[in-house]
Amino acid sequence: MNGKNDMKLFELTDITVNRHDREILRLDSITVCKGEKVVITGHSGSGKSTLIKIFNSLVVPDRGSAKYMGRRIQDYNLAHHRSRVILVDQEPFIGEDDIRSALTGFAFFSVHRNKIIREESIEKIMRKLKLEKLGSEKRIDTLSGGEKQRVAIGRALLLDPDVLLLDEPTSALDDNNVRLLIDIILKNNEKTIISISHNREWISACTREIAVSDGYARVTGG
Amino acid sequence: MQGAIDISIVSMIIGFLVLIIPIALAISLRINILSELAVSVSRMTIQLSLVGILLQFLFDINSLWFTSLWFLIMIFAASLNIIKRSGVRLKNSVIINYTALLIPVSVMLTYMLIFVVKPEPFFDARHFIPLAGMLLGNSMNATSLVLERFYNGIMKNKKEYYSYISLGATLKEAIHPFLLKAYRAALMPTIATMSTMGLVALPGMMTGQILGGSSPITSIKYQIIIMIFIFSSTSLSSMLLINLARLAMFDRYCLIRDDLDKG
Repeated sequence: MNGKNDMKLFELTDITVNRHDREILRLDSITVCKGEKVVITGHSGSGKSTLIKIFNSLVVPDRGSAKYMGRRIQDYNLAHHRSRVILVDQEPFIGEDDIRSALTGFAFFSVHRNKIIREESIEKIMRKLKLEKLGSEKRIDTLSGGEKQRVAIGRALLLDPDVLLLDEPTSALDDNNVRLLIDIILKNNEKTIISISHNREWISACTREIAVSDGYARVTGG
Repeated sequence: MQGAIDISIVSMIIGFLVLIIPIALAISLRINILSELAVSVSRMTIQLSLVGILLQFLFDINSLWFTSLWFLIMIFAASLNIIKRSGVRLKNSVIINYTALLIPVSVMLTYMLIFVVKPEPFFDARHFIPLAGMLLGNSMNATSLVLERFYNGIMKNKKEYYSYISLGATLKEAIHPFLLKAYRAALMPTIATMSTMGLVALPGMMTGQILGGSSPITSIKYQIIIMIFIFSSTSLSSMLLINLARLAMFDRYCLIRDDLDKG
């Protein structure tokens, strides 16, 4: 089910990222192919979040080359690229209104202008993520951390991106919801997934592991 | 038109005697404000005397070049003041603030002088300088507020800003919610002032004109017109400042510049 083919989506080579004149991430070579389920592991502060943000250009390397489908990421129309390679943050901002607004609040961005979000799609995604009991009118400030994470993932799925970047998607979820997410995101999904996780079940369900230690990233498994 | 009655030096001194009341109160209540009071009263007296002499010179010479030079100096002082009041220092802050005041205030002032007030000549210093000062002072207050709200709105809600960017928003789209809040905050004081004007207190400009011998009707016409131009000038300056500030706040990847993004 974990569809992987040899089409290279991302090629990162000889990357260095500095912040305030200090090196915070370095890697020699990482390639991600279409359909792969990649997990990034490492201690907190090791550089995992910096690495995942390179894929959608929320971090731009100071040295080296980061390519998407053979072309430098920075050379794409970045709004378009970021709409195809969507990042869901560990503590996502999903607005202050209700679930429906959180799921469809991106509609005013020009890059999504031609997307029509049907009522059935919203209901389907809420069912899939076991949010239907809450109801789409449920206020955001009454949701738990795990529910907010699932709403943010639902919002990303509604946009139907090519690549989903998930920063600690399981951090606020209980075991049942972790399994639910593994089923939806990793097992029954052809999309390319790059995630950060500490969860053993999640890690073992991925096809490849990139370990980041003290600011150095390398492929270790898969 | 009868001008305002002049106050002689002796009368001024008699006026200053009123200060005995707050000084006596401060001493009896042991409130330690005497040195600050002495400094501020002295500064006010010296600064205003110097400005009075300068304005007298500008009014007598009535030259477009000298009046314009004074106008440019006032804008420079206001540009520095925006940094101080907003607490926001960006790369090229002075140039950004200067441009955001110069263009809207110049356009509004020229329009007002040529088409509405119509003094002879149109750059008549007696009209140009007070009207420019009022537009500039209000635009400075509004732009300080808009910059502070816009900058802090984004810096304190980076997660929100980056969530829009992460979903494919352009820079213009991602800053839109912050821009709306800041812009509204900048315009609300003028809107509130306009709606209570005349009911709560007589505005300073109108009071000055009445004391100067103008009829209340003429003073009211000036007051209404100046408020309309103040509002238009503050709205233009605020919008221009946000658009110039965003160039200094974000890089070409729509990321907050490294030197601003401390956390």
